[in-house]
Amino acid sequence: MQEHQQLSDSEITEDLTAPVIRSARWFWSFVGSLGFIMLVGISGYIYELYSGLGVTGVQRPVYWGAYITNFVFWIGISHAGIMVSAILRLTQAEWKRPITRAAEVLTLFSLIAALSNILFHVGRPWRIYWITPLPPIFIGFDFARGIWPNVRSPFVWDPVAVGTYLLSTILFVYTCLIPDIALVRDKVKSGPAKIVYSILALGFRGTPRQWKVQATAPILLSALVLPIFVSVHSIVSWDFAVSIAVEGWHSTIFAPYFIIGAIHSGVSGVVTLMAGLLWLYKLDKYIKPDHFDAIGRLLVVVATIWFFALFLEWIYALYPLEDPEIALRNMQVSQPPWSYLFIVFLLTGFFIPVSAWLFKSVRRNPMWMFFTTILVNIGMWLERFLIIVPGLSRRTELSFNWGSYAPSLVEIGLVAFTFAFVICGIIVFARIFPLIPPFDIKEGMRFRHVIKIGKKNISAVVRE
Amino acid sequence: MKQSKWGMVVDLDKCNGCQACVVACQSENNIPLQKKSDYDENRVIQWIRVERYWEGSFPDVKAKFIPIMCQHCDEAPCEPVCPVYASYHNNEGLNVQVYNRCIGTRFCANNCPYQVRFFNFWEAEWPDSLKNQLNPDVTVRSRGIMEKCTFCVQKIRRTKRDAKVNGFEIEDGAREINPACVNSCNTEALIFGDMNNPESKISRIKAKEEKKDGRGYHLMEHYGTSPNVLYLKKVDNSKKSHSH
Amino acid sequence: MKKIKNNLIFTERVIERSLGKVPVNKELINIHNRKRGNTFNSFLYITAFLSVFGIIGIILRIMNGFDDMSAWSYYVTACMFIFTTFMGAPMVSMATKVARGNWRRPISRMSEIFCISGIAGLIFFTPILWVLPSLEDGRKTLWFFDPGKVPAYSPHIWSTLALLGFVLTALTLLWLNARPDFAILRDKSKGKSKIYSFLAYGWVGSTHQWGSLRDRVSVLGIFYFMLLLTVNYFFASDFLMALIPGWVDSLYPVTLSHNAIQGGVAILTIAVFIMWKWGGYQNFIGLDQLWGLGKLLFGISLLWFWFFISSLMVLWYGKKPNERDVLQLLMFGKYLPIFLFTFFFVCIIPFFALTLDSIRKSYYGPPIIALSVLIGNFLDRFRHYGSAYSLDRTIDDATHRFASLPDIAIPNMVDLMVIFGAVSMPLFFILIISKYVPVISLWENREYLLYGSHEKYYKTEVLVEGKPY
Repeated sequence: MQEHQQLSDSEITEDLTAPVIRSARWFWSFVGSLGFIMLVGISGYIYELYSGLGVTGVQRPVYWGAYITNFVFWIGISHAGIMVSAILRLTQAEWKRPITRAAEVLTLFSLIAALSNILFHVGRPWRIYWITPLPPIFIGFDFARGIWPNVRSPFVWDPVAVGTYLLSTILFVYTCLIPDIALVRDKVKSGPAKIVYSILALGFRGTPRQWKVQATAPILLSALVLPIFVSVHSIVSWDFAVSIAVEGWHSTIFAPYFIIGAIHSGVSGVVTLMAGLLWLYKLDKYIKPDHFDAIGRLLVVVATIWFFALFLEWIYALYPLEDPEIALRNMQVSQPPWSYLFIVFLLTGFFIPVSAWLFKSVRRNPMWMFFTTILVNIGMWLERFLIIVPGLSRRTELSFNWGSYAPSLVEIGLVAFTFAFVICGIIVFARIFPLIPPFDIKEGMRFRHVIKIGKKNISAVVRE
Repeated sequence: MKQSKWGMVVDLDKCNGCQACVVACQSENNIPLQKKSDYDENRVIQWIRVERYWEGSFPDVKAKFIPIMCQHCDEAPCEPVCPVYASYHNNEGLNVQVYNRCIGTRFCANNCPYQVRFFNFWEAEWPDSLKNQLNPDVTVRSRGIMEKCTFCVQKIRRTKRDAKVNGFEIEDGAREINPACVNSCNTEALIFGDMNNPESKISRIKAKEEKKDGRGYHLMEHYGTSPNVLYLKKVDNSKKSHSH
Repeated sequence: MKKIKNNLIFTERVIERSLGKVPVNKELINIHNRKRGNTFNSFLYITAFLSVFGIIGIILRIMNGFDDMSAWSYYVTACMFIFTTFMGAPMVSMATKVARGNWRRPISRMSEIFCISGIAGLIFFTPILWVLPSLEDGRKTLWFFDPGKVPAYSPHIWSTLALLGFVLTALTLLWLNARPDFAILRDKSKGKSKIYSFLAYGWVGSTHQWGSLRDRVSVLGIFYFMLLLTVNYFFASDFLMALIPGWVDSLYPVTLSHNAIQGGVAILTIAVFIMWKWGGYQNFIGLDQLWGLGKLLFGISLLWFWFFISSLMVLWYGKKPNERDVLQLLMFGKYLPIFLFTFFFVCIIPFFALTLDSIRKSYYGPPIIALSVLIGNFLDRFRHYGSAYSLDRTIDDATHRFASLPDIAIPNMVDLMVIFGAVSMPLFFILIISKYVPVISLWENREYLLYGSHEKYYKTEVLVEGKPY
C-alpha cells in the first residue's frame, strides 16, 4: 500500500534544493577522502604509463584482466539509468519519480568510469583515438595515420555504441534537468552561480508550451535510447563471444546474458544509491519503503531470469563435451582460488540477495536493501572476472601455455579509483543540481489519487 | 612473376628439441633478451617456441617436442578483431603485424588459438655489448604493442628486391629467403617455401603428406583457421597405434 | 451522451456501466448464454472434421514407421507449432496480471482458454518420442554428465513429465481463473447450473477464497512461465539441437520460448479481433486491447531481431567449420527461401507496419500483422525442425562438414492432414470450451469497476485507476 502523504510545492522545493543551496557538513571531508583514493589511483596510472603495462598483473595467456572486468562492470551498472528511467517512463510506473534522476546520473558517471578503463587497459593509450573514424583533418599532427578503423572489430563497434550511449545519456539527463535548473536559478540570490544556472536553464519559465515539450521529450528520448541500451551491452558481450579461441566465451547466449546481468547489477546499483541518498540527505519523505518494495520485486524477477541465462550458458558449454571446455569449467568450480570466488559469486550474486528479497520486510527496509544490493554487485563484478580470467587461462590442448592471473596493486588502485570517481561524481552532481527532481515529484503529487473501496483506501493515479 | 604463397612444414619426426630455432629467431628479429623475471611472470617473447610434452609413465617416459610459431592462417581469427588493422593479411599469404599501427588492445592475442602473439610489457632493452648485433632490417618494437612471427618477412622482401635488381631466380629453399629458424635447424625439421610453386620442396611434401594416409595435419583444425603451417606426425616405431 | 474517445473506449464504457446504466454481469451472461449462430457451428464442425483428419494422419504416419526420420519433418513441425503458438497465448494473461495492467481485463480469459490446446499438443507430441534416433547413433542428450550411463531413452522421461506438468498447470490455471465465473453462472443461469456448480467447486466468494485465488494464480502463473521455458528448452535441445551435429546454440531455448510467446500474442490478437468483430463483445473489447496487443507484438518482433542477431553474430563471426555448416543448413543453404520468408513475416513486416501509429492503433492492423507472424512462425518451426529431421547426419572426415544438405521437402497428403489437424484440433477444443467458459472474464471486469473511476481534474475529466498491491 502506497503511503499517501501530500506535500506542498514549497515544501518540496525547500527540501530538494537544500543540498544545492548550501553544502552539507560532511560534504568536503567526504569528497576529500574520495579525492584521495582517486589521487592514489591516478598516480598508479602515471606509473603504468611511465613504465609500461608490465606493472599490471596481465601475462601471456591472460591478456585481459581487472581493467576489462571493471569496464564490463561499469557498463553493466550504467544500464540502470536507462532501465529505470526509460522503461519505467514508458510503462508509466509511478514509483519511478524520485529514482530516475539518480539512476541517470549513475549511468553518466559509470559510463565515464567504464571508458576510463579502456585507457588504463590499452598498450598505447595516446593512440586510442585511432579506433575512431576521425578524419586526419582533426588530428593534424598524426602523420602515421590516414586509415579507416577496421569495422569488423568489436572494438570499433564498442566506442561507437558506448559513445552514442554517453551522448544520449547526457542529453537525457540535461533534458530532464531543465525545469529544476530553472528552479535553482530562481532560488539562488546572485553571483556567478546565478549566471551559470541562467545559461543552463535555457530560458525555462514554465509556460504551457515549455511544459508540453518538457513532458514529451523524455518519453521520445526513452524510446530512442532503448535500442542503444540493448545494443551497447550486446556489443560488449560480443567483445568476448566472437572469440573462437576462448572456449568459455564463444556462446550465443552472451548478448542476452550480459544484458540481463547488466540490468541485475545496474538496478541493484540504483537501490544502493537510493538507500545511500536516503541516509545522506534524509529524504525519507520522498523515497519510501514502497519504492524499495517495488524495485525489490523487479529485482527478484530480473535475478531469476539472469540465473536462468547463467544456467543455460553452463549447460550448453558442457553439452558438446569438448575437453577444453570441460577443463575450463572444472577449473572454475574446483580449483582454488577460482572455486572460492565461484562460490562467493553464486552466493552474493544470486542466492543470498534473492532469498532475502523474497521477504517483504527485507524489501521494505532500506538498510537491508542497501547491503543486499551491494552483495549483488560484488557478485556481478566477480561474474565478469570469472568469465574473463579463467576463460583466458587457456585450458586448451596446448597445455604448455596454460597460465593464470592475479591483479597487481596498480590495477586494484585503478579499480578503486573508478569506484571513488563514480561516488564522488554523484555527490558533486548532487551539490550542483537537485538529485531528486522537484518538478517530477510535484507532478506525481498532482496525479496522486485515492479510491475508497469499502473500508480500504487504495492509491490511484490519474491516467492521461 | 606468379604471386607467392609462403608456407612451412614442420616434421615432428625430425625435431629433437634443440631450440636452435628459438635462438636464431631471437637474434634475427631483435627480440629482447628474456630474463628470469620474464619467465617467472609468464611474459616471455618467443616467436617460435618448442613445446615439450612428456608422454607415458615413469620408466617408459618419452619427451615430445613441437615447435610452434605463427601459423599464418588463411582464416586468421586475429585479423578481424583488430580495431586498427594492425593485424592483416598480405597478398603473399602472410599474416603480418604492423607495429606502428598497433595500440595494444591485445584482442588478437585472445583470439589466437595457438598463443603465438606476444605483448611488449616493458621497453625492450639490451646490454651495451649486444647493441651492435641488432638487425638493421627489423624494427625494435616499443612497449605496449603486439608482435609475432613474420616468417622473417624482411628476408623475403630483401631477396625479392635483390632478385629483381640483379635479375636472378629465387631458388627454392635458398638460405637468403628462408626464415632464420629454418636455416638454423640442424635436422631439417623445418621446411619453408612457396606453396604456389608446384616444383618446390614444400609443395611436394604437402602433396604427399596431406593425403588420407599421410602424416600431415594442421594444428587445431577444428577452429577452421586453415593454417599455412603443416605439421608431420612423429613416427613412433615402438607402437603401431598413432598418437599426436 | 458524451462522445467517447477512441482509445478509452473500453474503460469509459465500463465506467458508464459503473454509473448504473447496464449491469456488466447481466449483459455478459446474456451474451455467453445466447444461442450460437450458424457461423460458429459451421466452424465447430469444420475444425472437428479436420481434427479427425489429423488423427487419421497421425495413425497413417505411425503406420509408415519411425525409421525414416525425414518423413516426420512436417509432423514434428506441426506439433511444435501447437506448442509455440497456442500454448504461448496464456502468457499474455500471466504477464499482464503480474504487471497489473488494467487493459488486460477483457482479454485475459480468452488468453487462458488457449491453455486447453495443450491436450492437442500432447496427442501430437507422443509419437515423436519414438522418432528420435537411438543414443548409440551418436545423438547427444542433455544427460551428458556421464556419457557411459545414459538412460536408454534419454529425453523421454523428463520431457514427458515436463510436458504433462505444463499442460496440467495450464488447465489448472484456466479452471482457477474461471472459478468465480462458474459460481456466477451457477447462480444466474438456468439449465446448466449443475455443471457450473461442479466447476465452481464451492466458490462463495469469501475473503479467504479471493485471497487464496490471487496467491494461487500468481504462483501458478510464474510456474507456467518457468514450465514454458523448460518445455521449450527440451524441445530445443533434445528434439532439435541433438539432431544437428555441431550445432551448439545456447540461446536457442530462449529464442524458442520467445517465439512461443510471439506466436501466442499473435494468435490471441486474432482471437480478440474475432471476438470484437463477430463475437458480440463490441461493448467490452475496445481499441485499448488491440492496441495493447499491437504494442506487445511490436516489442516482441524487435526482440526477435535481437535474439536472431545475437545468435547469428556469434556463429557467423566464429567461422568454425561446424558453425558454417549449421548456418548453411538453417539459413543460407537450401533453406534460404524459407529463412527469408520467416524473417520477412516475423520481423520485417511487424516491425515496419507496427511502427506506424495508424496501424498499431487500429482495429484491423494488429490482427493482420498477427496473421503474418503466425505464417512466419510456422515457417520458422519448419526451418529448424524440417531441416533437422531430414538431415543426413554423417560427417565427412576430411572436411568436418555435413556430407549433404537436405532439400526442402514437399508435403504429401499425410503431411497436409497432420498440419491441418494440428491447427484445427486446438481451435476445436477452444470453440467447445467457449460454450461453457465465458470468454470475457466476469469477475475481472467487475473488479475494474471498483478500481477505475472518472473524475473531474481541473478543467477536464480524467480516468483515475487504482493500483492495488
